[in-house]
Amino acid sequence: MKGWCAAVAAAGAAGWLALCAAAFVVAEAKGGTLACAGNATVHEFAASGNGEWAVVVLGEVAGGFPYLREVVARARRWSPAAFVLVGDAAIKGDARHLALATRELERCVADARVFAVPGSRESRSNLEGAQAFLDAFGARTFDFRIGGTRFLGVDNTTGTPEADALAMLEEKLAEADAVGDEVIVCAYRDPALTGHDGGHTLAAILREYRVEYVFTGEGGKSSLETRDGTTFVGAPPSGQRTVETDQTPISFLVLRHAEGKTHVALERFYRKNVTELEGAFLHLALAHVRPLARARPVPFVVVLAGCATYLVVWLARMRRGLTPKPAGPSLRTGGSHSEGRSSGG
Amino acid sequence: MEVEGKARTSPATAGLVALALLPAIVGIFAGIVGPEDLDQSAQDKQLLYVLDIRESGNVVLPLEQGCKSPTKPPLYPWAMTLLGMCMGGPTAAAGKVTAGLMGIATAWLLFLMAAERWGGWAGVGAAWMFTVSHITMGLLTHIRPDMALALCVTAAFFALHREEIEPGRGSSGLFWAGVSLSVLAKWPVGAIVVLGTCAVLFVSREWRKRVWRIAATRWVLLLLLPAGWFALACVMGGTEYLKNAVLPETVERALAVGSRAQKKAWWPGYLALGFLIQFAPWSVFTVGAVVELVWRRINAQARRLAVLPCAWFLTGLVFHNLFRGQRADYLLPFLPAAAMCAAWVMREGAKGVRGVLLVMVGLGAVGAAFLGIAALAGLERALPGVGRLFGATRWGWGGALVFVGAALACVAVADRRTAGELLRSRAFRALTAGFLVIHVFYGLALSPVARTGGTARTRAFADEVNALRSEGDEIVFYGALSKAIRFLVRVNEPALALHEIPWRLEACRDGARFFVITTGAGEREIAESRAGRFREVLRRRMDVGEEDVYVLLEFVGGRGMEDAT
Repeated sequence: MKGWCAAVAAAGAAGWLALCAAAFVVAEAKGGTLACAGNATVHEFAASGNGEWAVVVLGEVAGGFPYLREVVARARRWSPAAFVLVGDAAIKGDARHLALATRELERCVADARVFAVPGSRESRSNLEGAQAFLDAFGARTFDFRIGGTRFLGVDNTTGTPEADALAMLEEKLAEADAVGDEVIVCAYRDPALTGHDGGHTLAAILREYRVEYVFTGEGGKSSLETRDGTTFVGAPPSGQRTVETDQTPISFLVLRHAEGKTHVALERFYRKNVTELEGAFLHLALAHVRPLARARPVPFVVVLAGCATYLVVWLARMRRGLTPKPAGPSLRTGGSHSEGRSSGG
Repeated sequence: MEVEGKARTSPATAGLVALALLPAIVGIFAGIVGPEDLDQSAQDKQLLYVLDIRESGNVVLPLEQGCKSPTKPPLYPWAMTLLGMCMGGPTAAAGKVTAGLMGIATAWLLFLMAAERWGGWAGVGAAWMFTVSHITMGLLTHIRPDMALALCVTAAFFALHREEIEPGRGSSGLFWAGVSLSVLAKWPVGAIVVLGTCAVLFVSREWRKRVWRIAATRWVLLLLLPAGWFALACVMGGTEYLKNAVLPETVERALAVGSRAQKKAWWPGYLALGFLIQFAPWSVFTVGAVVELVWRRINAQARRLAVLPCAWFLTGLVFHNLFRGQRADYLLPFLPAAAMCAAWVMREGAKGVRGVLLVMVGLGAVGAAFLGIAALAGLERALPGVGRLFGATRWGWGGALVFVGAALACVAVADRRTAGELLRSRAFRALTAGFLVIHVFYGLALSPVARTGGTARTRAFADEVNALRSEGDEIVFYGALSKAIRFLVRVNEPALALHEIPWRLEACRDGARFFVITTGAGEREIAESRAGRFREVLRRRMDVGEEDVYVLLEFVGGRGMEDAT
C-alpha cells in the first residue's frame, strides 16, 4: 500500500513539474495595448477601387480563444479591414484572462485592426475587468469609417451609456448623417433592453438618426430583428459555449459591402478536441501557473524543488529495488568469498 | 470439486462452437440484409459520432451535428470507426457488423462458460437461448453500444469463471479490462454489476479468495483508462458536457428527474416483470434455477457451479430494478447469466423441467396453428399487432404458421416419453429454432420498419442528393430533419435558423451551388421569406416522425441579394 501511495505521489510530482516546465516555455501576451487595437483613435480605412470592403464581427469569445486563429485564417478570404468584437473576449473579468484572447489576436492579426466593445466581464462595475479592457484596447468605445460607412462602438455594459458618452455618440451620428454615411453601431447589449436615462436612451438616439444596423454580442446566439427601421443583429458566439447549444459552433459574421449594398455573411466551423485541450492548457499555464509563480515566487520554487527532490529520491529507490543484490555466502566453500580467498592466500 | 465437460480444442468442440454461434450468424445476416431503421433508437447518432471522428479527429469527444456532446462514452464509435476503415469508410453496414461481431463474441464466451461447467450441449443451449431472445435479436445489429456493454461484462465474468474452474488460471487482466471497457461502453452500469456481484460473492469464503486473487492485482490500473478518458472529456467538453450529457444520462436517467422527468418513471420491480416477458419462455427456467439454488433440491456439487451465474443475474436484476428509469435493453448485460441459469436447470433439473418445456412446445403449436389459420382465413386484420397481410405474404405466412404448429405438435408428442439430455432434445431445438425463425421473419417482413420501409426512403433521397451535388457545393439544413439524412449526405451539421440561410448563402464560394435540405413546412417558410430565390430540385415522401416530406432546394437567384429583414 505504501508503495502504491508513493507511486501516486511521484506521478503527481512529475505531472506538476511537467506542467510548470511547459507553462514557462509557452510565450505570453506582450502586455500593454494590443498592437492591432484601434479603439484609441479614429480610423479611416480606404475601400477598394470598386468600393468593396469587409469587416468581421465576432460574438462572445470567452473560453474559445484558441479558435481565434482559425477565425482569422478563414476571414482572410474576405480581406477584412477590421475585426470587431461585440461579445465578451475573456472567460473572467481580469487582465490575465483577457490576455489569453489578446495573445491570440496579436499573433494572428496582421493586416487589419481590431476594435472591441466591453462585455459583461469588462463592465464599468468590475473595476479590474474594466481596467484590463482599457489597457488592452486603449478605449471603451471606437470610431472608424470605411467607404461610406461609419462604425461606432458603444459601451452599454451597465445598461445605459454615461451621459457624456451618449452626447459624443449623438455628435458622431449627426456628423455621419450630415455626410450621408451609413451607420453601424456595435454594442454589447441590445439597446431595447437598456433602462431609461431621463428619456434620453440609446434606443431613442438610434431611432432619431435612422441607424441602419446595430450589432450586439449578449445572448450567445444569432438573431435578427427589425425595429423602427433599424436592423438589430445578434452576433453568434465566436468561441463561447452556451448551455442551450452545448458544444456551440464557432461562428462569425462578415459585413461585406459590394455593388452599393451591405450584406451579411455567416461563417461557421466546429470544435476540435485538440484545440479544446490546447485551450485548457494555455488557460492553466498562462492564467494560473505563471501568475501564481509571479505572485508567490518563494513558495512556488520551494514546492517545485520539493517535487523534484521527491521524484529523484523515488526514482533512486526504484532503481535500487530493481538492481540485483550481490550473491550471499556459497554453501560449497562454507563461508564468504573473502574468507575463502584469505585462507587460500 | 469435479469439473464437468471442460471444452477442449477438438473437432467435436469446434462443431459445437459453430452450432452455438449459428443463430447469431443468422440473426446478423438477417439484420444486415433486412430493412434499415437508422432513425430508431438513436442509431443515426452513433453514425454521426463516427463521421466526426473521421472528419474532425474528435476521438475523445465526438460530436453529433458538430455541436452536441455524446450521450455515451466512445468505445462503440471507436470500434465502428476501426471496422469502417477496414470496410472502406463509415457506413451503416460497418456499424451493424460491429454490433454483430460483439454479439458473436458474447455468445462465444457464454458458450465457453456453460460448456466448461456443464458440457458442450449446455454451452450450445445457453448460447441459443441468449441469442434467440427477443432483446438480443433486437440489439444484435442495432447500431448502439448495448452489445459492447454486454461483451465487456461477459468478458469480466469469464475471467471469474476461469478462476473458479481452474484456480490460478483466471485472468486478472481480462477481468479489469472488461470492467474498464464496460465503463467506456455505457458509463459505470456494467462496472457496478460486475463489482456488485463480486461484493455479493464475497459472502462466501471460497469465493472471497477467488475474487481477491483476480481483483487485487496491478491490473486494477486499467481503470485509469476510463478515468483518463473522462477527465479529458470534461476538459474538452466543459461544464456544458456535464450538464447536457453526463448528468442526464446517469443520475437523471436513473432517478427519472431533471431532463428525464418527462419520461415515464417506473416502480421498482417493473424490469423484473419485463425480464419475464422479454426473455420468455426461458425466463421461466431462469427463475426455476434461482428457486433450485435456494431450495437446494439439487445436490451441493451441482449447485456450486450455479452460484456465479445466479449471483450475476440477481445482482444485475436487483440493481436495475432500483432505477426509476427502466428499459428492456438494460437487461442485456446480465442476459448471458440468465441463459446460463436456464441451461443449468435444464441440465440438472428433475423431470418437471422436461414437462415445462413440453408444455411450452405444446402452447407454441396451438398458438402457431391459431395464427396460421387466422391468416389463411383473412382474419389477421382483427388480430392486434399482426397487421394487414396481402396476397402471397398472407398465404405464405399463414401456411408457414400452420406447418410450424403441426411440426411442434409432433415434436411434443414424440418427446413426451424420451429421456436423455434436455438441451439436446428435439423439443428444445424446435423451440429455439422457432423463435429464431419468428424473429427473422418479423424483422424482414412484419415489423413496422419492414412494412414502412424504415429509412430506405431517406437513403434513396440521400442517394439522389449525393448524385446531384458536386465537390465544393454547399448543403445546409433547415427544419426538423432526422440525423440519418445528415449521416447519409455526410454533412454533420445542425439546422440553420431561417435568418441564417441568406447569411450562409452569402458566404458560399463563387461557383459553388447552394442547397437547402428541408421539410415540406420548411420549404413553405423559406418561400415566404425568400420568394423566388430557390427552386425545388427534389421532393420525396419520408413518413419520418411528424414530417413526411423532404425537399431539396437549390438557390437560383443572383449574388448580392439583400439580407433578410
